[in-house]
Amino acid sequence: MALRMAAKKAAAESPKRLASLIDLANVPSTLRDFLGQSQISRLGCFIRVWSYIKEQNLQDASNMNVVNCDNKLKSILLGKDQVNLTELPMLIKLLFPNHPK
Amino acid sequence: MPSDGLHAAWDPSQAIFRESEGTGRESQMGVEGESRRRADENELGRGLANQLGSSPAALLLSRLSHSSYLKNLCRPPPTNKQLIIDGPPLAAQRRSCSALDWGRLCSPVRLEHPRFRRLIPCVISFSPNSPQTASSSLTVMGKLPPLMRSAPLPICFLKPPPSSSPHPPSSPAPETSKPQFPSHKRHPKHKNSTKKFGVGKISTPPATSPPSFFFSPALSDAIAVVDSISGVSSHFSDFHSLLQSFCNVGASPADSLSLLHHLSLRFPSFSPSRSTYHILLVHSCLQPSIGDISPILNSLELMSSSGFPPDSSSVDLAVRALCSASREDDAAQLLLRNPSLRPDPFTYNFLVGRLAKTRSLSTVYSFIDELRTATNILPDRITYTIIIDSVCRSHNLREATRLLGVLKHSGIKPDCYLYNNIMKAYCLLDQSGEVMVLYNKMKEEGIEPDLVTYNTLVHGLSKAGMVDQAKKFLNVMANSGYFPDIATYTSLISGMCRKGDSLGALRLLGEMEEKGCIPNEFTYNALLMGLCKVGSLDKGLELYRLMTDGGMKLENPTYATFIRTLCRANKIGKAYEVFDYARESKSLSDDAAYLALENSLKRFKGLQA
Repeated sequence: MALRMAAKKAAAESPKRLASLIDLANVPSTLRDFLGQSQISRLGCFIRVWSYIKEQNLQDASNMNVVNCDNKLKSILLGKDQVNLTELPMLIKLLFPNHPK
Repeated sequence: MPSDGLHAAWDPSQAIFRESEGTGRESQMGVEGESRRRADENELGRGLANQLGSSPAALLLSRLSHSSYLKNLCRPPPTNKQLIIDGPPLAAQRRSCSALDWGRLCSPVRLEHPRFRRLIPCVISFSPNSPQTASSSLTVMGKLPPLMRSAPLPICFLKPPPSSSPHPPSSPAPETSKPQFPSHKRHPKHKNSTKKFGVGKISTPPATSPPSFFFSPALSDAIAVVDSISGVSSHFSDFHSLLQSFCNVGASPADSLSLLHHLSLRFPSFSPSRSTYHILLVHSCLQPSIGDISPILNSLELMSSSGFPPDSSSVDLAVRALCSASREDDAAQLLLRNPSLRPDPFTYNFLVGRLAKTRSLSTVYSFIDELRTATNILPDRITYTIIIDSVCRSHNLREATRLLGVLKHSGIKPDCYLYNNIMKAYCLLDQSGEVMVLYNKMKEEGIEPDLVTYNTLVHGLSKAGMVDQAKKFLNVMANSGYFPDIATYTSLISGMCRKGDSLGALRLLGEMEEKGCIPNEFTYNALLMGLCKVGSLDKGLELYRLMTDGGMKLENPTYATFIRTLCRANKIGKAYEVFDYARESKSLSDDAAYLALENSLKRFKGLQA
């Protein structure tokens, strides 16, 4: 109960944070090629990238925490060969314009 | 149950259901027998069947909610949040109705009155699609009563009797419905008349649904239709459907009255009965003109002048119709201004319940006070239970305690439903320790606790961290003949998890399954969270697999804790899987699921660095 109240409070206090997550944004050309659309929210983009990883079986078989990028993925994820799943949200955040706090 | 009399009165209805398990013919006999037995009770049934033709399922359900062994139906499924919800039986039953569909129910009918039970067979045979609606509504309720679970749904019981067809069946049963159903007699004639008009074949017999004669609320059109009917057959007898149909298309109360006059002019055989006036009364109550009760007063006056002084059923119809049109204030005004209208306890409690739900507390009190001075109707135990329930819902515990004092002062003995409500409020307010005090008080006063009391108690104690004490109550429960159910165990398990004794909780889960109590998703959620908190991730993952196999949903706190624990154990891939599962199973919205994941990952990165 208390937890839920706290969660609600937090959600109410950070409308900007939620907005930056779900508002549609114009995306740079590299990402546009990857997604095939010019506008997407950060959340939508994350889900698309993650489902792409799953579809193409890009997770390292020995270490599920690591993704071996193919060329397409490399183009949007700073050209890295291997990406840790931990940094995936951060890397995607970089593609989106920074909202002033 | 509110009173023994009512309880006893409901027994025949159970008998019907038992009979309905048999073959179709047998069950029909049961229904018809019941109808026959009550055919002479009063004439209300007919008019009400007309009014309620559209809501057989609602009516059926309301009846289901009455039989004591089906009472569980109305209870919401036990959840962490809901497991302690229980009201007085009346309130609970109304809640079940409102949860279903107040709009469709729109019932001006006093459903709990034994007198109306005989309506159910009528209504059921009245509507062609009742089997579907009834059975679908039954499944809406979530559970089927054990009786029905063992047998297929008693569709045979719900089917319209074959007597509505022109060929008379050999069994004597359907004939008994004739006195009740002039509409059945009407069939052949009606068909003839339509053939004469050359309208063509009517595939469905008209009387199986409330016939709609009118399509425009204009009086002149309606009169034309009536004239054409009277020109074709002078033996037309279904005036109530005619009148109801005119009301349903949105005619004004004055126009419907004129139509009634016109009907009695055209058909000398038609003599308006009480139910005729009830149709008009209900219609005037259903008008959306808030604050203006003069049309209702007019129709009441018309009743008295026509030799049918309004009785308690009229009052009940009016009050319920007003409430279903959200005119609770008008209903209160109607009762206050006309002391001659004596509401019976059902009507009174219904209105108080509605007022308590929709208006401020002071409105309710002033209504009760004014009605006491005007008509000397005193609130009874159920009234107090309703008020205390609504007060507790708004977390006003001080008022509830005060009311308890008032209750004792006025010489009413509180029962366990009342105490359950107060106990629930203590749990809501995180003053769970108080439940023990309340329980002892109940014992002192000699009130026998029921299963809900024990469940609330165990929940409260678990919440307050007194799990050991809560466990003791399992034995106390068993001694008084109540077996701990899933709600009891879930409370205990979440209490133990909160204390950090998750492995003990896991043992309890095993014990619970041994006793044949199947854990639900709330049990698993509580346990998973507890296991994550103490860091036994292996068992947590095992449990998670069970949950995914069963397609159970994850609750937000459980999800967040689980993800965090997975990240801490460097199982990021698994955390992503859980994220996917949470989205697939629609446990959480995408953004909530993502935010929890992002947070955990951020925290994990901070730990690494």
